[in-house]
Amino acid sequence: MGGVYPVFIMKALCFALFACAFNLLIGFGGLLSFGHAMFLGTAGYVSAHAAKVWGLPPEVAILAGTLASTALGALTGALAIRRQGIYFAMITLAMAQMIFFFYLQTPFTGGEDGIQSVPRGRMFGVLDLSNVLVMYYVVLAIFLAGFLAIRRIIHSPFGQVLKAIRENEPRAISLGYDADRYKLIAFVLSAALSGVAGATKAIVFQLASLTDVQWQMSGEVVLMTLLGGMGTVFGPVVGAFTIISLEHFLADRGQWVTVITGAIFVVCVLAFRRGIVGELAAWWAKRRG
Amino acid sequence: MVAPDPATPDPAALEPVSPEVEVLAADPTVRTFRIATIAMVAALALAPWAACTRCSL
Repeated sequence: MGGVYPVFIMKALCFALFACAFNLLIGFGGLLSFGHAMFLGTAGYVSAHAAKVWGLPPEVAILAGTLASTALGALTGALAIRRQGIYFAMITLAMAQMIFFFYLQTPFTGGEDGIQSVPRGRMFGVLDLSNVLVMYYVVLAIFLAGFLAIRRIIHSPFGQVLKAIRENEPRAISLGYDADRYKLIAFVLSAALSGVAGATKAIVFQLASLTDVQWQMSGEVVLMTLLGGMGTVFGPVVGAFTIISLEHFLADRGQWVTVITGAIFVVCVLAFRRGIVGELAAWWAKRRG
Repeated sequence: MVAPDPATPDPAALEPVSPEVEVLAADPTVRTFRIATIAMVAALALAPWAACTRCSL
C-alpha cells in the first residue's frame, strides 16, 4: 500500500468538503462568495493552535475551529448579505483580505511560517491519528457526515426556500419568506462546513499556514465547484478531486499548473457550463427521455 | 344510516404528509443519488488498499 496515496485522498476529501460547503451557498443560494478561504484558514489556525498550544484533543480542536469559522461566518454574513451580485462578492473578498492581513501580523499564527508540527493526538482518547489509515477513515467519516448533511439541508424545506430565493427573490419575499434571514443561515452553514474542512485539513497535515487564507484559495474553490458542476450534489466532489489530481500530477511542471487549470476553467465555461456532473446529469436525463 | 357521499375524499387519503417527504418522493434522482453515494463510499473506503503502482501515488 502506497504511503502517499491515503494522504493524497485525505487532501482531496478536505477540499471536496470545502467545495461542497461553497456549493451550498453559490449553487443553491445563488450567492458568489470570493472570500471563503477565510473560513477554511480560520478554522485551520484555531484548531492547530488549540491542539498544539492548548493541548486539546483533536475532536475538540476541530470543534473549536468550526465554531470560530461559524462565528466569523455570522459576522461577515450579516454584513455581506445586505448587498447582492458583484457587491456581495467584493465585500466577502474585502473581509477575507482583512482576515489575511490579520493572520499575517498576529503572533499566534506564526506569520509566514504558520503553525507547524500540530499534534494529531488521539480522537475520543481511542483512535490514534498518527496512524495514517486511522486518520484516513476519520477524514472519510467527517467528509461523509458533511456531505450527507449538505444533501439533507438541500432537500429540507429550508433548502427549497433557498432555491426559491435563488430563482426569484422578489417572488419569495412576496410569499412571506424573509430572504435575508434564509441567506444568512445559508452563509453561516456554509462557513461552518468550510470550517470543518479547514480544521480537519490542519490536523491531517499538522500545519496551518497562510496558503489556506489567501485569495487564491477562494478562487480555487470557485474553480472546483464550477468544473464539477454548480448546483449539483456530487459536482464539487468531482471538481475537487480533478483539481487536486491535476495539481499533484503536474506538480513538477511548476507554474504551468496554474496555466493548465486556467485553460480548463475557460474550456469549462465556454463548452460545458453545467460542469462535469451537470453535463452528465443532463445527458442522462435526455437519454431517459 | 346515511350512505357516505362518494364525492367526499377518504379521510385516510388526507393524512398529513410533511413537505420534505413529498419533495423526496417527487425527486427522480433519489435512487440515482443513493446508488452513486454507495459507489462513492465503497470506492473511498477501499482506496487506501488500491495503491497505484504506475503513477507516483
